Amino acid sequence: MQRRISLLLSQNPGLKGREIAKRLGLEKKDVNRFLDDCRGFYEQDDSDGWSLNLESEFLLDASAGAPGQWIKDKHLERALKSIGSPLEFPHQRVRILVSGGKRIFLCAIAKLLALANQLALEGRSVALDFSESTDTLSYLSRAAFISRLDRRISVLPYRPDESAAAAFLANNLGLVELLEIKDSLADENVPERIKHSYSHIFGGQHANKLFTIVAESVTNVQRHSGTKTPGVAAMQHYASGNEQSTVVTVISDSGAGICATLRPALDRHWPQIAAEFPATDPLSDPKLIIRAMREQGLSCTGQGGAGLHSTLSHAKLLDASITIRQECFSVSFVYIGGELQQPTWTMDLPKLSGTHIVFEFLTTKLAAA
Amino acid sequence: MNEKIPTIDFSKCAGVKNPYGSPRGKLAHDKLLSEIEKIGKVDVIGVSFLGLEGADVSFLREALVYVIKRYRKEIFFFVTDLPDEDIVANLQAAAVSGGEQVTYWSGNECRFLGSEQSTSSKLLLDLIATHRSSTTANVAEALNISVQNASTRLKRLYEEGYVMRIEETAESGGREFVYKVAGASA
Repeated sequence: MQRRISLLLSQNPGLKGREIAKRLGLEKKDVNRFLDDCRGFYEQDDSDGWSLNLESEFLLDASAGAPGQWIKDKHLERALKSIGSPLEFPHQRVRILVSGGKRIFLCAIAKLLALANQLALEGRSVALDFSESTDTLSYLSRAAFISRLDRRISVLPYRPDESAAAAFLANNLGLVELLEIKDSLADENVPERIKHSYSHIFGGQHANKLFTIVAESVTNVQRHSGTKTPGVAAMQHYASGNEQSTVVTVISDSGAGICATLRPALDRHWPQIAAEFPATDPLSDPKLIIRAMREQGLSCTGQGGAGLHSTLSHAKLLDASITIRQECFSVSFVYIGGELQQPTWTMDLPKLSGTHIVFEFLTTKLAAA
Repeated sequence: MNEKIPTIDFSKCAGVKNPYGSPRGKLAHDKLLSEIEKIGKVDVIGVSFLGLEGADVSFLREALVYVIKRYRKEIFFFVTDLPDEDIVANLQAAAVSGGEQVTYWSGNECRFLGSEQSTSSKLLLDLIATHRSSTTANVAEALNISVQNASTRLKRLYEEGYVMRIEETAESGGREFVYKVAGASA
């Protein structure tokens, strides 16, 4: 309810409780009670009209949607959906809270990092608050999270000094630290680092599949994304019972997004396809990504696009799932028994710029080693 | 006739064991061209992947497939020592994306990577690969088709970059084309 009311009031300040309820299809008493409870975040004028109090702090409790000890990707998205993304609102002060000593899964870590950095880039005053979760802060620190964080962001209760641990080597945590995606000719070979970490634990059987998937996505970040803050890639693995492990790989950037980079090339080189996916129809965006994944050849350069398609080809061999989160929607691909299930998408997600790819599959140490 | 075929160490062109991406592919492309220039005038060159552990599609397209395409009908290339089937799959995707065929030898097995061939072309290629080379007359006899038909189909395979074509003296004393698969035993 909070996000919907906040979005409405950001566009239409001064609405009364009953007007808000009517426009959102909610009960008036529920709306009035909620606004009253959140007085401070919202303010009421002399004629009982409500507005966002832009002087207040925008508080995003990342733990709010997580019932257990772990904040997973879906929990973070749930929290954003409930409260709203601070990127959607003009509040100058933003605090992102990780409460209750909860730990964070890799997918959520990468998104939190991107969100905080994007806010800092807009000149907001951002605080990441781990006051109740210092163990989590320590874990994140060993995963190079703080090194990837914009220096202007304050970290509570303290900002760990990672300089003493240049080689983070978080492998013992089941996590390859957040590797910064630099220039494609940089000495650090990010896909190779992830491949080696994987094969060290699981053997070489699928190592080159994973390498290819990471490499193609990393190349897209380097060449096409125009990311405003450095992209990151990381891998995490955790036991999933029966001697199986789930391997999660994340490639995240704060760039323009796949459709924004693909569309100009479509207009120039594939006008028929451009006409099939008009930018004026929001549903065109997820459908265009699905098309680009399934069909080899579409690319930002107009020639020989292979990255997205080869990612899907290798996903098939691993029976993997891929989720691609864009600024306001996400697309999911799932393979079961080598067969691609009907791709799905989720629209109207709270704003998070860039492309955030999560690649997940099951493997076994015994079979692969 | 068993001249040694020059082979290029592709890992030296790649520079790293796990190359990826078009920019690094372009660098490797230039190095590969330089190696080819050093070899001088030849009909066939082998490209060995020994020493490479992996490579993604974009790299392989830029570094290798575009070089093979550039020399089509001038120099025939074949690759060997791919580290695993995942890299074979990547080279296959790179060949499709780059619009060129790549001849790959895995032991004694010859595979043609790139766009899917028609059933009849595949039959023909398998026949030539099995015998390493064949004349039009041999193909016509083996597939029970007319010499004219065999000649047309072989010419198409040559034009598409699958096989080499060498004019030799036939047993009858006349001239005939011999179609060969590029490879260590060609």
